[in-house]
Amino acid sequence: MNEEHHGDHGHVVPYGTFALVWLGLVILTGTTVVAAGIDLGKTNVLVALAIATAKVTLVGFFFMHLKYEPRMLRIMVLISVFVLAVILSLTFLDTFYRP
Amino acid sequence: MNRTMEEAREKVRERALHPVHEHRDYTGAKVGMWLFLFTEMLLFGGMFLLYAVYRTNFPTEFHFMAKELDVTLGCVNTLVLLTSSMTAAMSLTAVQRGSRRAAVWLLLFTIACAGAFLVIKYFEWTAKFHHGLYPGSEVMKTQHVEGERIFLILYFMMTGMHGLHVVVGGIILAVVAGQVAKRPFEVVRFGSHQLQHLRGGHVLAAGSVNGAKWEGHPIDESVDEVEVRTTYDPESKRGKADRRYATLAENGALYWHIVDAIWIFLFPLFYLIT
Repeated sequence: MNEEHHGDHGHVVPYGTFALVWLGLVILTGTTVVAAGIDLGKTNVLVALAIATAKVTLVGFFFMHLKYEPRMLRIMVLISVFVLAVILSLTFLDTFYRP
Repeated sequence: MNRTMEEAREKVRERALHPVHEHRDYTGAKVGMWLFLFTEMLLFGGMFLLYAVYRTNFPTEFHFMAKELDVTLGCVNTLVLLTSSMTAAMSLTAVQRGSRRAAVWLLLFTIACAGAFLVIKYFEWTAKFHHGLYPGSEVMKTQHVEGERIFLILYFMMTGMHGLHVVVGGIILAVVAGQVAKRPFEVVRFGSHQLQHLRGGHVLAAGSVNGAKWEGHPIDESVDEVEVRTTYDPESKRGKADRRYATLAENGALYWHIVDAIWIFLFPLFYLIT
């Protein structure tokens, strides 16, 4: 009887999806550990960050339900990330050019 | 009495008078939680900023100092958190489907993972202290250069802040588990206008200890409000979870996922730069 007052709690994600995502995350973790052992010079950092970003995207999209949420929420998350990127970039614009 | 109650409820429904119930804003709660998560992202983002600048300035020192960290323990902790994130997400599905037992066990497992993470972190930190590797120590002052000291400070600061969040996350999940574990109940309140439908009746049974004194009492002018609380049959094997806790479960899980996400960045940046 209280169900009708709940409104739609919407998307129920099946257990199997989460298990698959977990598997992907574990594989990516293994990849980043192996990649760290290979000397790629400056690109090591980029590879590590790229893999970490992929993992966080998986966590955000599936575990945190962003894939199933209204687009506005995804946009808000992107805006937050963008703000961080701006802060980092502007800081480096300063520190890179210090003597 | 049950029949009288049913009749009263029917009357209430007929006149489109809704029973007094709490207004819940599911979307508002979720967006509110996300706004808070953005502040968490900026909090750790600021610390990652420090890391980025100092690592750019001291690449070799960071590389050297990172050797003090145990990659295996870092990996184990990563796997622990990833698994806990999965079970936290699964617990939400369980609540949404009404699988009360599954939801509680999944939440308890998540909390256990949080505990395991903290235990491993404890061993990592105490090993450092044992070797005199902490900010301001004699070892750090005499045997290590500035860049290495900065790495260590950042390590303790960021994993410490993260560890605090793991503790808080564990507490939040415990609260969620406590709520989800409750058997679902339904409350119908008759107040003021609706109460007239009950007048003339008597209270036949009152569940709580306080309510016992009301048994046999007529529902007359001295009664302001009647609240009927129905608990689903505890003998029922279905053991349904109360879906009204889905919002709480979802927000609690969201917090836990951010904690996991932060570690996903911490791990490679501290443990895998050798």
